[in-house]
Amino acid sequence: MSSIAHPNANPLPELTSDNYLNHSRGILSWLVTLDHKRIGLMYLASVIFFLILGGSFAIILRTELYEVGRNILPQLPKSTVGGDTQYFAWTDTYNQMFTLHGGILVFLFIIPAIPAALGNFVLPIMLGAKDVAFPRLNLMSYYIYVGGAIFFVLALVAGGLDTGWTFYTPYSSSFEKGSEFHWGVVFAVSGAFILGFSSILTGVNFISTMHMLRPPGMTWFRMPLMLWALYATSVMQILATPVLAITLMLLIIERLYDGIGIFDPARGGDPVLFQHFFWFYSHPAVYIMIVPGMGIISEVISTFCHKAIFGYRFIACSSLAIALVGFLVWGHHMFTSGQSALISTFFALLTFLVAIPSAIKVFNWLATMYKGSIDLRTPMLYAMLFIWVFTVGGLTGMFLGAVSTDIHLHDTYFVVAHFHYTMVGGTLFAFLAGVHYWFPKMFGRMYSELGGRIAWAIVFVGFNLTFISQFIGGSRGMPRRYADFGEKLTELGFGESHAQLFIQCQKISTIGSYILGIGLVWAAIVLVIALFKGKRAPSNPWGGPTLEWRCASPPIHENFVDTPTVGEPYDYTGMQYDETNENYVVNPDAAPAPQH
Amino acid sequence: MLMSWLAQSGSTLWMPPPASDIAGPVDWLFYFILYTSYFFLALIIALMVFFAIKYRRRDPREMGSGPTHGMVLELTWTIIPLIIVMFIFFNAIPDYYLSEGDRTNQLEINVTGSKWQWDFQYDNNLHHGELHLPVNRPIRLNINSTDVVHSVYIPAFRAKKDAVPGRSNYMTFTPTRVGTYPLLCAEFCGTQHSDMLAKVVVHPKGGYEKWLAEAARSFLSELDETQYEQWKLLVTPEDLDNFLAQYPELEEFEDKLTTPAMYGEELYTKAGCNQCHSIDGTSNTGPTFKGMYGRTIRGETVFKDDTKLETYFNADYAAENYFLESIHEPGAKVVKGMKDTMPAQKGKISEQEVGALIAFFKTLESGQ
Repeated sequence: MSSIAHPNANPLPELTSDNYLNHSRGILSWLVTLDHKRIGLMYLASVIFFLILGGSFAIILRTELYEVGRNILPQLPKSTVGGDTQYFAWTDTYNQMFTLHGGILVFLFIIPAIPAALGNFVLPIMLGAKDVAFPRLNLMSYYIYVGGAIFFVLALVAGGLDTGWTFYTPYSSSFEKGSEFHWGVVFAVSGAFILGFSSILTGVNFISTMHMLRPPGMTWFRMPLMLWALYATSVMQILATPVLAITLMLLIIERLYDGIGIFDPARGGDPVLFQHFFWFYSHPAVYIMIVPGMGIISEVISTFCHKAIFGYRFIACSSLAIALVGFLVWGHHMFTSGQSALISTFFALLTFLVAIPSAIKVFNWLATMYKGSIDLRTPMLYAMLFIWVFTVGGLTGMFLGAVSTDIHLHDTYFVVAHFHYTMVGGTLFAFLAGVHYWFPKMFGRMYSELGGRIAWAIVFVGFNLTFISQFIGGSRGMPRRYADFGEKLTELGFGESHAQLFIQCQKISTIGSYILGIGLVWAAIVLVIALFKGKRAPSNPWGGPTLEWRCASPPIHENFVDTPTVGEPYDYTGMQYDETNENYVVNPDAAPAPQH
Repeated sequence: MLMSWLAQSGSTLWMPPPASDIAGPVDWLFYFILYTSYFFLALIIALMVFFAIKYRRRDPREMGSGPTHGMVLELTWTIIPLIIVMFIFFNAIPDYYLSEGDRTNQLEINVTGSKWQWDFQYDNNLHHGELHLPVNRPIRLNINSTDVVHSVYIPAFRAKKDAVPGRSNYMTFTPTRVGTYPLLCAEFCGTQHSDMLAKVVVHPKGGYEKWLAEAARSFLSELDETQYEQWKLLVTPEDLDNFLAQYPELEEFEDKLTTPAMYGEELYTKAGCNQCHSIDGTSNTGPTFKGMYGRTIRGETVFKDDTKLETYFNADYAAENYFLESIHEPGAKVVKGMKDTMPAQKGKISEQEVGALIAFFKTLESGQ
C-alpha cells in the first residue's frame, strides 16, 4: 500500500465552492427542494427534534419512578363543566407521558430515522444516481410526515391520549359522550394513519430507484448492503403499513360513532382482532426499525476494518429472509391473549426461525473484523456497541419466543428492556453510527474524534445501566406501565426483599437513564460544534469503498459529474492514502478486484 | 448497590421464588436460555474485543486481509444456533400446554377484571376480592373482563392470562407452596392500572375449606336483600344442601339459605300473583296454581281454541317453556274459560325468577 506524494495531491475545494448546501439559497429553496440530500437533512432535523421530545418524556418518567410513592407529575385539566375544571389523576399524566414517549419515538423517530433521513441522503449517492426515481414524491413524503407529526403533537395538546403506543381496544376505542370526549386518541391515531402514507411512498420510491437507477456494472449482488437493507425495509413498509392504516381507520370510526362496533365487544366487536391487525403491522415494523440499522452497521464495519465484508450474500439474503419471515410471527405478542395453544405453537416456531438470519449477520460482522485493520473511530465504536446491544436484545428474545417463559415475562420490564435493547440498540445506535459516519459527507466537516468517543463511552455505560436492571426486575415480575410500585406490593406478599428489589432496580434504571441522556446530549454538542467549527473534511476521510465516498464532501447538487461505473461493492484494492488531505483516493491504475 | 443489597438479603437475582407446578419447568428453561445467552454473549464480546485489539489499525495506509467468505463457517453459525433454538422451542411447548390444559379434580374459580379491581367467584357464587387456593390441588381460573383488557399475572406461579371482555379465557396450574403472593394486572387498563392488585393466598391442607366457610359467612351477612335474592337464584337446591352439610357452622344463616322454591313462594305474593291465582284450588280470575304443574305436564290444560300444549311443544321442556311464555306474554295461550286480562310480565320477572316460580309450582301438587 502506498501513499500519494504530497506535491501531487490536489488541495480540497473550499466549502464555499458549489455544493448541494449552497447551490441555491433562501429558506424557500429548502422548503420546495427536490434534492434528496436536502430532503434527507430536513428529515434528519425533524427526527432529531422528536428524539429530543420523546427522550425528554423518558427522563421525566424515570424521574417519577425513582422514588416509590412520590409524585412529581402535575394533574392535567380534563374538562370544564359549568366553570368547574375537572382534573385527570396524576397517574393519568404518567400514562399519557409513557404513551407519548412510545408513540413519538416509534412513529416519528425510529421508523423514519434511518430509511427516510439517512436513507434518503445516501441511497441515490450509493447508486451513483442524481436523485431518487421520483423526487417530487419524495418531497411529498416529507410533507405527509410533517402533517402526521402535527396531528401527533396535537394529541399532546388535546390531552387524553393514554392508551399506550399500541392503542389496544376497547380501552382506546370506548365511545365517550359530550364533555367526557377527548380528541387525543383520534388525533394521534390520525397522525399514525397519515404517517403510514409517508412510509409507503418512501418505500415505493426507494424500490423504484433501486430497480431503475443502478449504475453500469452494479448488478443486484453488487449493491452495497445498506441498499439491500433499505430494499428489504421498503418491501415491509409497502406490504405492512396498509394493514395498520385500515386498522387505525376502523379504530377512529369506532371511537367517533356510538353505534359502530368493530373491536369493542360491548358493540359486537372483538378486541383480539385489533391485536392481530395491529401486530400484523407492528411486528414487521420492528424489522422496519432494525433492518436499515443492520445495513449501516455492515457499511461501517467494512469501512473501518478496511476489508470487504465477510459473507456478503449471506448478509444480503438474511435481510430479505427477515423481511419475509418477519411477517409471520406477529402472534408472539399475543401468547397470553387467549389465542389457541396451537397457533401460539406455530408463532413460537416461526419466531425462533426469524432469529437465525439475525444471528448470521452478527457472526458475519465478527468474521469481517478478523484480520481487519480495525480503526476504532466513533462510528466503529457505535457499530461495536450495536453488536453488543443487539446480541443482548436477540438473546433475550429467546426468553420471549419460548412460549412458557414468555407467559411469565410478557408485559413485564423484561420485555421493556428487551425491546429497548433491540430498538434503541438497533436503531438509535445504528443511527448514531450512521450520523457520525456520513457527517463529513453531509456537511464537509469533521467532528471531534475525542469528543465523539467520550460521548460514546457515556452512552455505553448509561444505556446498559438503564436496561440491565430492568431485565432483572422484569424477571422477578415487575409489570410495565405502572405509575408507581408502592408499599402495597409488600402488603400483598411480595415480601420485603422482593419489593426492595423492584425499588432498587427502578433507582438504578433512573440513574442510568440520566447518564444515557448526558451521553446523547454530549454527542449532539460535539456534532453541532463540528457543524460550525469542524475541520474541512475530504471526500473520503475513512477510506470507504462505496460510491458516496467517490463524490465530493459535501456532494455537488447532482452528486456526480459523470455517472460512475462500479465493480465489486467492497473493493479496497487500489485505495491510496493522501496524507496532505488525510483522504483516501482510488488509484485508477490499480488492478480490478478478484471476483468472489 | 443492587449486588450488595442482594448479598444482604440472600435473594436470587433472577425470577421470584417458585410456588406452582409450572414454575419448575419454566425456571429450568429460563436458566437454560440464560446460561446459553451468557455463553454466546461472552463469546461474541470476547471475539469482538480481541479482534479490535489484535487487529487494531496501526497505520492509515494499512488495509485488512483475511477471508471474505466461507461456506463452512456460514453453515456452522446457521446450524448450531438453529439446533439450540429448536431445542428451546421443543422444551417450551410442553410447559406451555401445562398451563393451557384441564386437569383431573381441578378446582374452578372465576376471575373477573374490571377497572380497577379483581373479583374472584368461588363455589356457591361466593364473591371475594382475594384469590384463595388449596395447596397441591389443580386450579383452573376462568378469566373474564367487564370493560377493557386486563391481565391476571401471578409471578410466583409463572402464570398469566389476559382478561378480555366478551370472551372467556382460562389458565391452569397447581399451587405447590403455601404462602401469600401478589396478583397483578399486567395489561395496561388506565388510571389505576398500578393499583389493580390482589392477594393470592395458598392454604395448607384443609385451610381452604375453613377459609371458604368463613368467607361465606361474611359474604352472606354483607349482602342486602336484592343481592341476596340474586345470589339464591344462582344456587341449586342440591348445592345448598351440600353447602350446609359441608359447613355446619353456617346454621345461623339457614333461614337465609333457602331453595328456589322458597324464593318462588316469596315472589308469589311479592310480584302480585296471589291477586288472581290461588294456591289452594279455589277459583279466581286466573287458574289456580294448585296442581297446575301436573295438569300441564299431563297435557290436561285446554286452551281457548281447544288446542292443548302438545300442539305446540313436544320436548321435555314443554312445561317450563309454557310457564315462561305465559308469564312474559300471557295473551299467547289463554286457558279455556279464562279472560285475557293478565298484564305481561316481560322485563318485570326475570327468567331466573320464573325458574324459582316453577320450582314453587312443583310444591303445589295435590298430595304434597
